Amino acid sequence: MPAPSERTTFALSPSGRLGGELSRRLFLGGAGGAALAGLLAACAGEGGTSGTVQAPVAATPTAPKRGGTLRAGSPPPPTAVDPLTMYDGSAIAIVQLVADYLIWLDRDFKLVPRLAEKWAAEEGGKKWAFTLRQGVTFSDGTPLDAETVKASFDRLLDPDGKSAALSAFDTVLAKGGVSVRDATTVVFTLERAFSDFPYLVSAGNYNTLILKKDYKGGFTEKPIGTGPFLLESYDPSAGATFTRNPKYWEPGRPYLDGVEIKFYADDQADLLALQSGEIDVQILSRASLTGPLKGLADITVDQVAGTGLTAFTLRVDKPPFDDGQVRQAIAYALDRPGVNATVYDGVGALGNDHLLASLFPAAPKDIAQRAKDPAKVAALLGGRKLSFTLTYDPPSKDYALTIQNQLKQVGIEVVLDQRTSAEFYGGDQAKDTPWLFTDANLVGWAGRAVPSQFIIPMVKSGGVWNGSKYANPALDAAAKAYDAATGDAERKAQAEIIAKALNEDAPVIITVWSGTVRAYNGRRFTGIAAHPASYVDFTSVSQL
Amino acid sequence: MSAATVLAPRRATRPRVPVALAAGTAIVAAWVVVALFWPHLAPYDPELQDPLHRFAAPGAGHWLGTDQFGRDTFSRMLAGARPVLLVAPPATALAVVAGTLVGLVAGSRGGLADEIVMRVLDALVVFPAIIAAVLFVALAGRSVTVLVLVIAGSFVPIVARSVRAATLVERERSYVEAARLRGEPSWSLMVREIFPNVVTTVLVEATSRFGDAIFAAATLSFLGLGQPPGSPDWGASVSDNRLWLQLAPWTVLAPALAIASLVVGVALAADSLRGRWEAS
Repeated sequence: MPAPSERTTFALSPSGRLGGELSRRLFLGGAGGAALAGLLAACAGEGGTSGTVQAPVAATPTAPKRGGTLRAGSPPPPTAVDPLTMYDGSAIAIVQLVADYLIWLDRDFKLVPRLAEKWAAEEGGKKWAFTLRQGVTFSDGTPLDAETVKASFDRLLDPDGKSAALSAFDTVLAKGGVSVRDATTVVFTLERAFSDFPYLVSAGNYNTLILKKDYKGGFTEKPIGTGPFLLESYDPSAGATFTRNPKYWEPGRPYLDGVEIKFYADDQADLLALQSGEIDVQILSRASLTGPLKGLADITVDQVAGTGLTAFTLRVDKPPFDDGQVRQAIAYALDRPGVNATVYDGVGALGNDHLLASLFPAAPKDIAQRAKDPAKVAALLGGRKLSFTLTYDPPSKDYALTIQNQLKQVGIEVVLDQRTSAEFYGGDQAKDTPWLFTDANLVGWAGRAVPSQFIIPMVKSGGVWNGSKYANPALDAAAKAYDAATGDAERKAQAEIIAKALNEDAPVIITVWSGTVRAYNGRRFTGIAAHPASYVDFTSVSQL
Repeated sequence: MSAATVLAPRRATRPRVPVALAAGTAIVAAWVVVALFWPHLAPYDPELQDPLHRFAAPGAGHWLGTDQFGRDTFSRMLAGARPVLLVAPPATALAVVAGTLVGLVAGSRGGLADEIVMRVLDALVVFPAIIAAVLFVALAGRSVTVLVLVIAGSFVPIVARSVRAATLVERERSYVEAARLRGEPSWSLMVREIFPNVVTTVLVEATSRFGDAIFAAATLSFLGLGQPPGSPDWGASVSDNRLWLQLAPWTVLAPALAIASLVVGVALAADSLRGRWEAS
């Protein structure tokens, strides 16, 4: 994976999510990649945390009503709205209304065919062939074909370009790896077998939108796509308006005549706009701010689980964390439900110090959930007095304060060292950048569609974002085998090896997997749902 | 009623303390006591988190409710007095001493030295204090000492200009001229003749700047340039909790009202004292 230095300061972070407090602007983020943040939701039926906090008042009509304009609130994009370089939630939402992916990643983590109708692995997962949907045209009438798709991915894979997706493809797909088999078939030749590859060309890697062959930037000036809406106007300080795309490939969709996005620079203003009826839905709701909405008859708050996390990283190659018992002591000192309640407003799911979130299908089920155990902490420390400095940037402040307080309760002193984000992610990425080289730190990671996107950079020996400096040959081998495995049993077996190693060694402590919410007016609209990455799909939204 | 009664001398009474002065002093004194003894007054550890009681409304258990971490707002309000009062008084004292010295010297000597000093001070006054503070804190790091220096530094030009203006007036008075004719050296003119007559200006500046220093300390903390994260500092508390103004207004109102009450207390006392000094 390339050094995460392709763009802005925040892009240096593996997460656009600003720590415990979800940044409404950058929360998808990250240079990291594959971004997508994730998946989700494993569904309420499986004990997940997905669900609607407050049910809509009206039932969904049998026949969706056509027409109407959905008014959405969102923070203004901090940078240009460009599918190739974007990393913030607002820009992503705007582009997703206009352009489309080969595959959509649904809120339940299912891959849903969009511009690609089907796909299949070849040569044991080293090649993937995608068959395109026929009859799709761009909004200017240009037909979609395999050459167009190839051109889109060539742009994304160009190491000399500004693609924000480069890190997601690192070690998997390189420039020159995309070819055209025929007018409707695109072939991806990988650098190594990767069974989860479809996720990398799906919305899970949010920059992978299919654009015209000659796209060279300036998306808002010439917004051409195959998505459900047409961008009619865009004002970086005010908002954007959209009308229904009559050439949209899915018959009968969207139901809405249009969408209007209004920019609010302040969270409170966005929230008040929803309460007052000025807008109908929030693009990027914050769980911690939706409290006032509970009990309001016309507001519905939908929530879904995700795979975003705050990594509490401990340097295993330096005292005091070179002692595995010390790391375990910290892991057993934390009150994970307390972190979830305090930092994530209870929307998250408990973590168990490994990177196989329960939402990942291969997640092991037989590793006991780690819980606060002061007696065990005392035994592990054996009377040693533990004190250390925890480095982080402002988005992780709430998380830092919470674990500082929790560790204090078992006699572990934590000195907080808050840096600016520029400082935290700055410096020499190979020598001294704080987020990779301090003794203990907190790094917000956006959700990932597949566990490898965490494992490879974060904990594999020599991983580009391996801040703990953890090195375990057994884990390395299992990670490689996991990516190449084509059967569920084999994948689960390798996943278990990885998870047990991380749980036991605790180089990175993961207390909670974050979730997301979306608040909307349930009296006026139906079909709106939270998404683990706060993506927008308004093709099924209709008026009540 | 007899004439004797009417003409009887009135019983001597003690000078009355103005209500404003009494009220202001009482408020300030109360906060000073709180700053010194909050560990004995606060019902809870202001840093103790309670995830099960986040955003609890004011009530019997928590008089002013709890914040997003479940921390007791009342206890944090009490504990927040100390950071402010550790910064504002020394910053004010430093600014007044330095400003008085600069203003006195510049005003007494006049000439080119006065011109140079005053133009420098004019430039400093024009430069936005907040930007200067941000730069300084970024370079020097966060600490009480840095805050004191930043606030004092921003007030020195203001105090110096006032003292210089008063000095220029006094310098032309006949008693100064007489002293000069007597052959008193310039330092003596400045210290023995002029300073006692501009001390009212100095006191007025001191009281005014004290209120400003409180507000400045809170502002810097609000901007994240003050106390470390998690501190119950009032400015930081307002900043940290403003997102939840709608959900838990008490988390913002408590520290905001604390700041307001202390500033108002200082202003009441200062106005009253200023009136007395100027009258005398």
